[in-house]
Amino acid sequence: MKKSFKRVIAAISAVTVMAFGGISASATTADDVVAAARGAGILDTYVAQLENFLRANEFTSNQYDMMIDGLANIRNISMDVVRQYFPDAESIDEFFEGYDGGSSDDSDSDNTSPTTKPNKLNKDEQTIQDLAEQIQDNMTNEQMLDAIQEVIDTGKKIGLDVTVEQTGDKSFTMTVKDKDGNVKLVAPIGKLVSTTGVEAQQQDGSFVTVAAICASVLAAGGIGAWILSRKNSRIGE
Amino acid sequence: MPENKKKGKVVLFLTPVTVLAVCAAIITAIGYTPFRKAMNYANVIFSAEIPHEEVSEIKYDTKEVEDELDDGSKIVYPSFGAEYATLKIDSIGLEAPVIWGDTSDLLQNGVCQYTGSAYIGMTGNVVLAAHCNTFFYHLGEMQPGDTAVLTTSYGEFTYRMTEQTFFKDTNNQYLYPTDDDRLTMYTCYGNLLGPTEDRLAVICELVEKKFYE
Repeated sequence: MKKSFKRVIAAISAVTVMAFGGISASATTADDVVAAARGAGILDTYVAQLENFLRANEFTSNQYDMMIDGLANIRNISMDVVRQYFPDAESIDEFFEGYDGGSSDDSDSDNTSPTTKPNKLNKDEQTIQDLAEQIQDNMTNEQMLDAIQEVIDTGKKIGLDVTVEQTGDKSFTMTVKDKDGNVKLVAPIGKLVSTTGVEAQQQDGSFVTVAAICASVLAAGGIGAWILSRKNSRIGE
Repeated sequence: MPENKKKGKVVLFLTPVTVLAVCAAIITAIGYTPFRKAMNYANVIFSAEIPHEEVSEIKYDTKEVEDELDDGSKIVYPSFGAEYATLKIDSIGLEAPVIWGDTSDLLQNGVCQYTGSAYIGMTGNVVLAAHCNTFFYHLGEMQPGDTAVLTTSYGEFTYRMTEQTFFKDTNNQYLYPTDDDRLTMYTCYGNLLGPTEDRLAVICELVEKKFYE
């Protein structure tokens, strides 16, 4: 009796371990999405944006899977760029597969950029950050728009409204809203440095209002002058 | 005859009014921008209250998320557009709210943090920006060794200035993540009255990290 009870307990334990083990092994997490972003050759600063966004917002495993699918398409766009930039490369994958996603080499550190290096791609003494930057620099506006479109499409799939406004050459502002219209993120792409000068503060609605008032007064003045000239000509007659 | 008199009165009244209105419109149109710039200068010179305008009708998500770091410290991730810290730099007399996000709207209300930088308290580069004629007007006066304190609902973090540097607005390098704990603050430089591509940055190292229990 005691023996069979033990067997039952062992069997239940085994099933439980298998079940939960299976779930934890297959459930996609935010970390997987971040790893996929790094693997897509995306600049660390954008990966950090994504990581911060995922930390502050909750998503389901299914939604994380959709994000990874979207990132796979962005990776393909990055690969097209790499093919143009490194025509001698034996395998495009080596550029991304060599990246270990977090190890660092302090000997090359300049404290201004991440020091993470790919395992395979060091023939040009480049960090993965350098490579990602080159990929971005060598992307055409169309390729950038394709990558951004992937983000928009993925956002739609997971219930977010993503809009992108072009603010300059290869410079964009991405706005992410939830289904209620609340702004979840406004992120610059391309040119990241903010406009912090005085002029930036003056491009608000008040200037438009003053311009409109001036235009109205000038128009009224013109009409007034026309009426006056007509009256004067009648008096003259 | 009386009709002519009446018309004459109308002309007499309308002429100066019309001329006045046209002149006023022209003067307002020409003088608006210089006036705004002069007011900015006046605010700075006479230490007027820093403009603190209301954010427009943009709806921001207000949900905050609490989390526990690997070392057991508790942290709160702010929602976009939220004031989640205070920056205090005694040496330049600054005490200002720190907002998560750095859009032009938010920059009118405080010191803004780039969302690709590290959350305050986490390892990495905390990047803050503010206008050169308001919150960061005196940023360039910071000296190496001066301290900057960031206070949040979950802790207090003290940084010491190590260097001052200059860069162009096309250079994203100073906004990139770093392996060390640092605070990078920047603002426009060189032209207080107009747009400029030059930026002044102050870089600080973390000297004390205190998470609340």
